[in-house]
Amino acid sequence: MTMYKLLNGEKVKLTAEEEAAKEAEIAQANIDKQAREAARVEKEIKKASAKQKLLDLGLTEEEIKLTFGL
Amino acid sequence: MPFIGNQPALSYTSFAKQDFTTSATTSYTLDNPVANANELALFINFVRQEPTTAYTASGTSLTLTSATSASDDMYCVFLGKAVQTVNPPNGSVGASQIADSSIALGKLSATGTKDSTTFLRGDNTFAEAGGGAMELLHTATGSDVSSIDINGYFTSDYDHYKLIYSVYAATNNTDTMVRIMQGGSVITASNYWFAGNAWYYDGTYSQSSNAVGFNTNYIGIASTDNTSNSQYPTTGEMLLSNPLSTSQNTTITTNSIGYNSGAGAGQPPTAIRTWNYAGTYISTTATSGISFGYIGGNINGTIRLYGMKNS
Repeated sequence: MTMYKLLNGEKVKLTAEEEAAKEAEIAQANIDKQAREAARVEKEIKKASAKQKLLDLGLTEEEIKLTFGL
Repeated sequence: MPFIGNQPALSYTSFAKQDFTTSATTSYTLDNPVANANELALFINFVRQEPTTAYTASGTSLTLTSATSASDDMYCVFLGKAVQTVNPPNGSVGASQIADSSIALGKLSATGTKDSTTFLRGDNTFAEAGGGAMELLHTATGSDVSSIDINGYFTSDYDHYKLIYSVYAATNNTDTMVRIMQGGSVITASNYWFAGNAWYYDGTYSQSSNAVGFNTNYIGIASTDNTSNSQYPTTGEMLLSNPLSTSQNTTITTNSIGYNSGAGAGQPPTAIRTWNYAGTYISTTATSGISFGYIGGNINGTIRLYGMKNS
């Protein structure tokens, strides 16, 4: 798909070099996004695990939230 | 009554007064010729004198029967020699004699250039309004473009610029970023530093977050999962400083609203963020412009560039 940029209000077609750079950037952003999402999921799993361990120790939900923010 | 010859111009009548510099003499010269003494009302020390008894007059000669002294105050009003003028007497035309919408600018004595860019000042001079200390230099509105670039508007009139932006991504879950331009080209070299902090709230969790970059190829201004939902644009303001300096880096500070993108493209966001960023490009080459975009795709929105006058 042809890519454009806006330069001083004028729509300008990207050069082949610019287009390749933009596509590479988007590809890298997608990789980063997936990594970010994986990290977020892992963080949530760890949070849930930590919370469960605290519950197993006998802390209440309210105590856990007040003390650990979980 | 009919008359022969050219019809005279419409005339106005005005009495004329003459003040005399008195001395020990009986002879004075009138400004206007008269037929006789009765055409003059002569006052000496504010007392009216009787014509032909106290004075005689003929032509421009006024002769008193008794000499005045240098301390006397003497003036006359010409009665028979009412001055006929084509123009109204000075100071005799009031506002009611002037027709509405009849005074053109050319009638004004004001100096300066009279045109669509100037205004009449209180000192009777036409001059440019001068404007405020902040001037709109450019407005750019882009729709689904890889970047919105504003180039060539930095001048020595301004060291500091304000950019007001309202943008959103064409694809979900991506970061808003800027790059500088040098010589009209967007710079993607890894010489950017930036640090940003945010406060995040999703209705349950309220916490801080941050986003940083060192020797990256862009400066983030609103990071982590911005949404592609047009109802939730990233709006904010940027202070861009010293772009033309060849001894200092160009610096950028921003304040923006940010979001966490929803589950799918175009979905409403799931959390709100406030983002504060500071960034710079390490270079002593002058900056010619600024480029807005999204790391993960295209950009939509409007950016306005304002210059803040140095003086």
